[in-house]
Amino acid sequence: MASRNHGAVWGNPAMKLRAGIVAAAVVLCGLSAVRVLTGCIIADTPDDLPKLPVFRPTILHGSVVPPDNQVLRSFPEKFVVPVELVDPTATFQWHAFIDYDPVTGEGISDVGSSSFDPASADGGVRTLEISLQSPSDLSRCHLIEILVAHGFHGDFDGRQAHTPDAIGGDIVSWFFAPNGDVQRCPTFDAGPDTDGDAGSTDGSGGQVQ
Amino acid sequence: MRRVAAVLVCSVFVALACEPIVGTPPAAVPHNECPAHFCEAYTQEGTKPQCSAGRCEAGKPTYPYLLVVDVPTTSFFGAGRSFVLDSRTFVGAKGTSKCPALTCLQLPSLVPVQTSLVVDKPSAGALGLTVPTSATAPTPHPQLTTFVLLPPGSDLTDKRTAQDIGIPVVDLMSDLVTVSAGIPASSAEIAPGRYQRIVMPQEPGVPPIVSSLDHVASPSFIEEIVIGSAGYALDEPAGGRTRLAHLTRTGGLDGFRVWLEDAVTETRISTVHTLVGEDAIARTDTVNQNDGSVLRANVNIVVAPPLNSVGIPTLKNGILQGVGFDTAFPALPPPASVRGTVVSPSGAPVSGTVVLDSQQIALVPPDKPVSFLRYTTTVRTDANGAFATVLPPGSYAVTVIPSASSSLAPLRATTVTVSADAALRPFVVTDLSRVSGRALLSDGRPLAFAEVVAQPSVVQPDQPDALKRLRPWLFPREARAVTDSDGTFTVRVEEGTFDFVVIPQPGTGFGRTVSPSRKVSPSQTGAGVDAGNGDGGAPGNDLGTLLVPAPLKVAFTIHDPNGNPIVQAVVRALTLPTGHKEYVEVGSALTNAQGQFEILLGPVPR
Repeated sequence: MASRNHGAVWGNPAMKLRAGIVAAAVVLCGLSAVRVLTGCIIADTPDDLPKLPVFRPTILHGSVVPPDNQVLRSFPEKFVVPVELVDPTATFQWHAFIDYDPVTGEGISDVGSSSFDPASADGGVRTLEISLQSPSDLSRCHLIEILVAHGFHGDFDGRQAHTPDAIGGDIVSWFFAPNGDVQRCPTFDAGPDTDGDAGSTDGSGGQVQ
Repeated sequence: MRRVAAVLVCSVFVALACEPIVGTPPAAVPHNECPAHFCEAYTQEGTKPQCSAGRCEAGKPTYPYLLVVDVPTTSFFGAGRSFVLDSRTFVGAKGTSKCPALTCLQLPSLVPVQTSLVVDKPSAGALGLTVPTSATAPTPHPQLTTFVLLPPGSDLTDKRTAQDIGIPVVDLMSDLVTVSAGIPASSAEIAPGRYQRIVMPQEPGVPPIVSSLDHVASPSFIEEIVIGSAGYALDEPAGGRTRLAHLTRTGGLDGFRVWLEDAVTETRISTVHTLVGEDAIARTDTVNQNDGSVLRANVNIVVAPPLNSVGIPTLKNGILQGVGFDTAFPALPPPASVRGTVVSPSGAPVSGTVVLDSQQIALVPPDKPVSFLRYTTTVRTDANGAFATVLPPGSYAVTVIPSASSSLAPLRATTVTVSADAALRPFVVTDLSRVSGRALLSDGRPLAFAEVVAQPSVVQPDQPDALKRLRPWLFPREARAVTDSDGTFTVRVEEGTFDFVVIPQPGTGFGRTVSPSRKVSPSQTGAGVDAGNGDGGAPGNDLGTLLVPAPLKVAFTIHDPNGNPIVQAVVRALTLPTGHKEYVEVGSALTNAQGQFEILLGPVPR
């Protein structure tokens, strides 16, 4: 039955035409599917062009504002930090610290990042303008640090946030001394606090001068 | 049915195959380009924009502005110095052949300032200083001198410094040097201008000299200050009643220190003496602080507890017409141990800082609390949001500042009363307010991917007399956001008054637009952002539309006095918004290898 029926189909011109149309439709459909799939493949990222090796961002120390070679008597509204990049398209991060404590990891003040701006004509120098909340006890000395790096080991996680990744980074620091009298600043020995006062920063009361 | 399904599937394939697969194009950052874009499309006040070198520009600014030039420390000239140049003096000025006025700015020569401080023998005797018996010449004393820039155009009675009104210059410290015959001196090279000079002796028994240097100009300014000479005589050389502080304290004053300070700036203006015993008399010597025969107004006597003491307040009492030097340090109840926690609205612990600033300190009953005793302390919360400290009993204004990573708003204007050891109720901080708006170019295009900075205004109307350098915790923090492709943005900010700055991407050909003094209300109230014109602002925390017009151009080459370019200097442009007395920054740039810079400005902020 089957062979007869087949013979009937292939013997009938109308059926032949219909079969041809169906075959053409199948082929067209197949080609369309291939085109779609090919299109998807083409939409994938082409082979990467050779990339520059990743370099650490470098601070133009001479141009930071305020200058980092002067004792700060007043807390600046803004820190201006020009950063030079080997690859102008690179993205980098910055972390700001006030009185960073290497033992506890405390002291992070703010974080941010700087991305490539295709419209920029900055010639590989990006200028960070960072406004930090000044410490509440400005009658004491403070150390302000801004680190830039390709990345850090952590964002707000204590010591990790103070450690650039393997590519490295750069740091600029300022010393704040009220009235410029550095003799009144405490000596930082980086040792643990042994009097067990639980890290309180008490004491500006009665020590204003 | 199967045929129909097959036909449908096939149709989809065919339809897809007929349409090219196109990725989503990145949203475009609008550029200032002409003639591709008509300059007439920018609708703005003032000069109509014209096409110039492929960019629509509205000419040069006609309003006054300042340029602050920060010379890099690598420069041969003026390393690390800041120069404030006023457009009212350099626009239209006569240039030189090397530095034409229209395109070039020549920095003025630095003025070497050298200050030495000596005390003549009679004054040294009056001050109780040790003077070698063989000494015939005045005794030199090492000191550090600070130069504080005063605002251009202000009178010398104005206590505000340039920094106080938004001019971003830091105070300049002198270096210690030794001049002839081993005399110590302080030396600095400063830019011409008006300064407050603070000569702070290293020895506490020598009074500081605070004076104004009006229009310091080249070639040099060398001064030997002789305490005891006509210009710098001790205000009360004989140590009369108006200079002797008589202090008492039950329990003793050992290690306490006494001095006088300016009540506004809190700068020390007298000698410092360490006290001993329960009843102490100490001199508080000053120079040039008398008004007539008595001490001038706005001076406090300060009696501070020993360094590193905890839980003991500082006494600060006003001296009026020379009266107030006889002071009894009141008897106080024992300090109280205070504990507390800081939590978020969901009850989660919050990492941050707590500032406790006394309003009144309790005395031993039945005496009433007093405000002339002051105590301020700062503590950090631990991982559980808990803090502990020791306070003299009294009432305190509490400021809770969550860490920058928390997206939580500081808690201010909260008062607690401490009477004994206690656990304070938890401090609940809330979310930051959301402030929305839209940045549009004045030709109607949305300003995509521009930075929006909420910059705390220099003066917070709620705290008009507060100086940030003295009470920084009262001031809100800066916040930033980036506009979406349609120019809309949302910034999460603290409560306070802000200058909102729209900063188009560099290289797009547009300048900054500043909307000054916009008051942001707490998010819970749903109140508006007030433009300061009394209309209450747009509903909700909505800034409305911030228009960025075709820019005004400021472009110069910076030269040193010898005609050499200043390379990699940070240049910042500032101006006074309409109706304001504090400057805002309206643009910045870095000079290139030829010393050139270009800053595109918007209209006068208002």
